[in-house]
Amino acid sequence: MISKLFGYLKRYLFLIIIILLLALFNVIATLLIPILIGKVIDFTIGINQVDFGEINKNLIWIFVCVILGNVLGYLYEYLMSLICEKIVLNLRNEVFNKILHLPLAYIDSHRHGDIVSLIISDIEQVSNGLLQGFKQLYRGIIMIIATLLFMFIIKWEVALIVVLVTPLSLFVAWFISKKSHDYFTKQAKIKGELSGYILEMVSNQKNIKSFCYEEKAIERFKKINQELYDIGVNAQFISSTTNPSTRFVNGLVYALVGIVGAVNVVKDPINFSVGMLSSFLSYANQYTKPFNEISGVISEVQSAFASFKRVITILDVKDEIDEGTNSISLPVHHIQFDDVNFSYQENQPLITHFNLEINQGEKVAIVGPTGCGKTTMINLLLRYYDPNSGKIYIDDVNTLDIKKDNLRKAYGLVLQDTWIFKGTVRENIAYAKQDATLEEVIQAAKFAHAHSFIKRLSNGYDTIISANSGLSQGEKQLLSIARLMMLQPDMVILDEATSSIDTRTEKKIVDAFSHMMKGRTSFIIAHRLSTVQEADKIIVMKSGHIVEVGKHQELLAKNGFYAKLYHQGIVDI
Amino acid sequence: MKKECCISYLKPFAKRLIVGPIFKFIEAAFELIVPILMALIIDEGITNRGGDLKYIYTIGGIIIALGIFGLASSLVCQFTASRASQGYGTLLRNAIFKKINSLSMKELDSVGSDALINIMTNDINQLQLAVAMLIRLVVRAPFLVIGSLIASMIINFKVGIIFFVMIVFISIILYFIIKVSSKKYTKVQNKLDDLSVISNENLKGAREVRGFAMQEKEKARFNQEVKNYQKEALSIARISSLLNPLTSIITNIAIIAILYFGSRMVNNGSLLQGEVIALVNYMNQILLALIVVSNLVVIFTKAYASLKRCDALLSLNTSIQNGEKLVEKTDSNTILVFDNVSFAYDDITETSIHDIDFKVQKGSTIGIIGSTGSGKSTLVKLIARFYDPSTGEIYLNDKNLKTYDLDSLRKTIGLVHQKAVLFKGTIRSNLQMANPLATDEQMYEALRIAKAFDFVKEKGGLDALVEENGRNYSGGQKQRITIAQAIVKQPKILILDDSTSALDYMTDAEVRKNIKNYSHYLTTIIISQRASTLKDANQIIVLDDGRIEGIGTHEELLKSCLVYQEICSSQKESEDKKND
Repeated sequence: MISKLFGYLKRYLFLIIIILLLALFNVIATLLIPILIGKVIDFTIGINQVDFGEINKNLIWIFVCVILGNVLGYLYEYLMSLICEKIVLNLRNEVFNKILHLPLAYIDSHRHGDIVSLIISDIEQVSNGLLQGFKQLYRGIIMIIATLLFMFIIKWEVALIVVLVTPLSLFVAWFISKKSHDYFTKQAKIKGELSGYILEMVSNQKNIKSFCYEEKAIERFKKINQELYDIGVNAQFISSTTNPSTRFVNGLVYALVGIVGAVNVVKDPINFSVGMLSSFLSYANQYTKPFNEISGVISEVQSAFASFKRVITILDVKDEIDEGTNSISLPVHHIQFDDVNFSYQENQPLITHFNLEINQGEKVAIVGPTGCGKTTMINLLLRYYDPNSGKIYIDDVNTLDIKKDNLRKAYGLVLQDTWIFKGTVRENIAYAKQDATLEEVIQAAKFAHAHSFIKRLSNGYDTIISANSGLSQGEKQLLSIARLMMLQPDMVILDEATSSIDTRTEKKIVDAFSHMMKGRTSFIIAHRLSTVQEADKIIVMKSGHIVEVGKHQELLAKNGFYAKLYHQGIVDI
Repeated sequence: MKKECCISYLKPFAKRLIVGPIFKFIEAAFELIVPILMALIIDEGITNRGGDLKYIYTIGGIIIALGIFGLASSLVCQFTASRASQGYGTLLRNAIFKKINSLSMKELDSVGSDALINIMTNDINQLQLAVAMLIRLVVRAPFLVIGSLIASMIINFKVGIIFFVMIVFISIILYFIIKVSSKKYTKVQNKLDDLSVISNENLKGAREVRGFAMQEKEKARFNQEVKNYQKEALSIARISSLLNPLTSIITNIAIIAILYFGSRMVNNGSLLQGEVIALVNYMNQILLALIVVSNLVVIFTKAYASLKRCDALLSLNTSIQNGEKLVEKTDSNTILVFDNVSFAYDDITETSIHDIDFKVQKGSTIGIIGSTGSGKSTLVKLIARFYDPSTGEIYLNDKNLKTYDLDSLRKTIGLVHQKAVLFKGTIRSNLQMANPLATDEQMYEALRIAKAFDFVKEKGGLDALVEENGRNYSGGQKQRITIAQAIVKQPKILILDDSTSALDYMTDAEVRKNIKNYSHYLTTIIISQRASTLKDANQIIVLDDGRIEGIGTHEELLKSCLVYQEICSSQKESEDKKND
């Protein structure tokens, strides 16, 4: 994993070396200032004992160090952010690109929220922890080493005092960060539980009220809230001891340096001056700061590593297989399922030895009760999933040998779970045909009977919509249908495309569809049997398996599962 | 009634709010004394007394002692602060959660559930943090700034002026940088949200994106957004990276000024060498304290906004007044009456139902049909008193709905919502939410009626786990479990608000048959878009655009109601086909 990280850094090797040098010189310039101040003080002894020439010379040097040091410091921080953002940009693009090519099986079996948080929070964590964290870590370490070095050069006896107190700083920093880390982990867990509960109870108030569950909800909430208090109080207290403890250790170093330094000045004023003591006091004042910063950063770095590992894990997932090079010539004349076997889970075979031939212009319906796996057929046709064995041919070419993009472009689809992305209505309709004129878009919307509700939106076709923008499920379905109408694809797949549209409108859309689909091959999934009767082939499914295939009359004559479904349906209607 | 506000919840912590800062003040005062003592060591111990070691040790000892006492009193303060702020947050959270549960849907809708959740989490945390900082830093940081200034002026008034000028400059810089970067920070956050929107869309729409072969376009779209994000993030970096260098430059220039003027004063005897060192020390201390002050300004600005939001929520009162009557058995045959009811969700929007008039007989089945947005669900919300009618009255058992105790009223109604919601827990905990006293037999019975028994049993029976939002159940399964929830309540009126939409006809029909057989005294109101679902109802109400277009049985409406005819003809295709 470390090597992976360095892989990302390698591209910026030159810039990184410059940055490291910048930090080094920034630290040196910063540390020179107390020494120069000390010198000035040494020339400021008492009445008529002040050497203005030397003082002015040193003051100019201080000014140079201040400006130089800070300009370098600024460049260091800015360049570090620059590299960091560059790496983050590449990483984000890579993960997103991965999402576009992950096998559907991966997307279906993982929570989308988790994958999104990889792109957003995990990569943000990598940026904060691994990169910004290293910035602090690196500068902190240089600072500590350089400070010690400077002190030893000036007066090693006094420097020794500082070194002796160092373990105390380390211990305090380590102890507090460890303790608070434990509490914060516990606190995060309870906080998560509490916000989960808040989310559930607040967004479902309608249900709470109809169950008269308010009192119970308050009771339970108080209980979790109390748990949060118990942990939170300690988490807060421990973490808030960091600053006072550091101040104390700092104060201790300061006092000891003051005492030992003063004694040294008294005993050996020639080798250790008051000005040197002043430099020492300045160093002592800032000595524990880097320790603190480092200990604060370490847990950040740790969680950044964990985040980076998660990011790498998804990048290592193999893309969906797309090895075909052939392309299909439209229109497609013939589709053939040849002894296809398929299952989502290894030991639960779903489709076994399935054979079917579909000719151009045929209407294929897939029916069955709720949750029987009707979408499996779509998954296979569009190669969202590939068969375990057996082949699917399009005009005698194995679909595995066809480029996926090419294969999928032959179909137009409307799925049950409508998909609306954030953008204007127009962009949503013209999704697959970017160069469409407004007239074409309106035409498609009219076919889909979406025009009248779009007209009523605040900005008509330019209204920005999104998945949660308040469109009803039915309206979203109308838009998806318009998207399909726009495309006029060679073959059409409709997966419960009108399930949320009221029946009066549905009737009109179905008419528009049958007009459009004349001569086109179509696949239709529906649980309303009325929509599938004139199909050329009806595939009947039951709990994942294909149980019957045939025409309406044939299947009725068979008096099997379809007949049973049909009669139930008829009784209803 | 006394008006609630966030500040009043600080009351139990009044003592801590006073004690904490006092201890913090002690530590800060000690801290301010230290540079003066160090100046004494140098000027008195080394110079004036000609190397008085005993004096040096004594003063040094005092500095260490001050450090220890400082630490102790500071820890007392941090302890007080953690108890007070965490306690305050806890009280406030309980109070606001209780408030939310007491409000009616009208108020809740007007605030919006996203905003409510935000208040419950972010805003209260912000207030809790502000209380902690109030105790821990509000006294300390300004005191250190002002104290250092005063101490420097005591040492030498003229040099003190340098301090003053420096404080003004640094404050201006801090103000400017914080203002600009916090504004930009919101922008960066928005850009980050855009990224997460696109990612989500591409996961949810993986089949569409690939189906339309649009991967390259999506990649370009994301690329563009990441670049926009990077641009904003870097512009923050450019500004916030200025903070350290600029403040450091100003502090050091001030130090140069102190040394320049100080050395002249030392030369003419108005300042001592050790005092120069003390002044340099105070200078560095002020910088640290000023940065803390600027952080405090940010925290309290945010907290003030949070405070206003919390107060606004606490000041809301429910518009649904509770009655006193309990729902009791009556001899009357009419259970429910709508008398000329109209309703608008708020004063601005159009009324969503107008002049609704109908009666429901006890034990009958009522169907309500109409297209999307015709006002079907609104009727239901009025029956459960989520809202009160704008005009007109509703009567239950011949008494005005408003005179009933809300709990008693809602317990007599089994309401199954359009969107099936399950809560994290088990099947049992979900069913017992509806009726805490339900026995296992009753629960199994309810599941059987709702045709949920088989799959629940397969998943492990009543103790089968239900994940957040019931995501381990399909839409149809969730609908059936929520129907079982309503049945387990043993209601007098059962309302199914389009709650079988994800079921196939067969299952839908069986569930309805089971409910019918379960109790003949149960009054059932079924809302649906399917005419077939309602065909056998005693009475069907046809709604169109918020008005009643017709009331009657299936046969009556087929003859008399145009809208109903249209609905049926659009759904009757197959029957006609069969007859061909």
